[in-house]
Amino acid sequence: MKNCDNIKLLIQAFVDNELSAEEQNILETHINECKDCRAELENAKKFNKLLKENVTKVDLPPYFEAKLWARIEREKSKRFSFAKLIPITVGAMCVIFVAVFSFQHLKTGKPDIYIVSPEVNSIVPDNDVTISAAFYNKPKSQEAQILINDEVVAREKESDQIIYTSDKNMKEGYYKMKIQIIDKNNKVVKQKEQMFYVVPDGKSSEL
Amino acid sequence: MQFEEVVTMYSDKLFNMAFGFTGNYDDASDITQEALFLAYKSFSKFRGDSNVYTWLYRIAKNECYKHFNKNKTSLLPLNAEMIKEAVPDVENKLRIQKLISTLPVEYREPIVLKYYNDMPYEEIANTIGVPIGTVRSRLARGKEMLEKKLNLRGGQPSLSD
Repeated sequence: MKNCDNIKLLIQAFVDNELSAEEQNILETHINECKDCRAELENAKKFNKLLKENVTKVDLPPYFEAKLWARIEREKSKRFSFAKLIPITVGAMCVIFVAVFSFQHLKTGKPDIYIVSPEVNSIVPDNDVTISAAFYNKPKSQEAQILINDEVVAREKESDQIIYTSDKNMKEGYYKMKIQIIDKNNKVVKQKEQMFYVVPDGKSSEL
Repeated sequence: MQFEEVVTMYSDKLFNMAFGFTGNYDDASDITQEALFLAYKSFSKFRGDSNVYTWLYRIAKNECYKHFNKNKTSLLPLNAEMIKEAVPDVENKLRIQKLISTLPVEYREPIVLKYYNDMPYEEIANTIGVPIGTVRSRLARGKEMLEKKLNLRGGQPSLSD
């Protein structure tokens, strides 16, 4: 009986193709002599087949990776600002304080470029891609432009805001957008960039 | 290896493992998301002492425990009444998947890795961190428990009863 218990383990390993040649010999010899273990082997083969047929592998949910990367991107931007602060001494922080609250900023209390939409790392439906930004302190002599994946899609001269709406459904995927303020010589004076992810409209509710 | 490669190579495998563990698609999705996010945060500290999947597996298994604790359920097996109630007339596949997720965790682990992740015994042993002999005995015992739950012992294997 004790021996049959050990053989049971060999039987399970046999149906999983996990026996060494030596163990297989032991099993075969025993099976030829033991009716119960022969029946056990037949049963194990059938049950293994049944398990393999009924354990169904599942596909990842829609946009699984996109959601993960969006979360990672948010984490990266958090880490970036935090990592920058850690090694800075109190003195250096004072310098940064002065830099951040430079004359222009003190005047308005607002950033030079404020991205209204889309939000950082947001997921947007392909038929509703609208990029908009507002500018503070932008001299009339400077222009503003929007770039998607480094291609200029909109340009604005006079106004303190810029809007771009895609006239066609954009392909699914990550896009990098930049809002730039440029001078007369097309030199970038200020720039802000962020990522967004486009999904087909019908599926955006699944997110 | 870049983390992008880790995601591409192992998301699917990890998701199936979590699905086998929980028997629930949405829970598996949440657990895999969380596990990969935690893996990203500590990726720089991963020194390659173990195989990448073994490392991910341990994070995900931990998340399974957290998930069950949070939902005030348990990794302990349900009793026969609860199983009957949970899976009265569902499809065979769902029934067997649900039953796997009700096995005690030490038997569930090797079955999930064997059937959802197609791992050979040696890899299962390395992933769980037990000797190969233990994998053999746990798999045999786990399958026997499943057969009993399905009322197959002593009769013709069938899922229709």
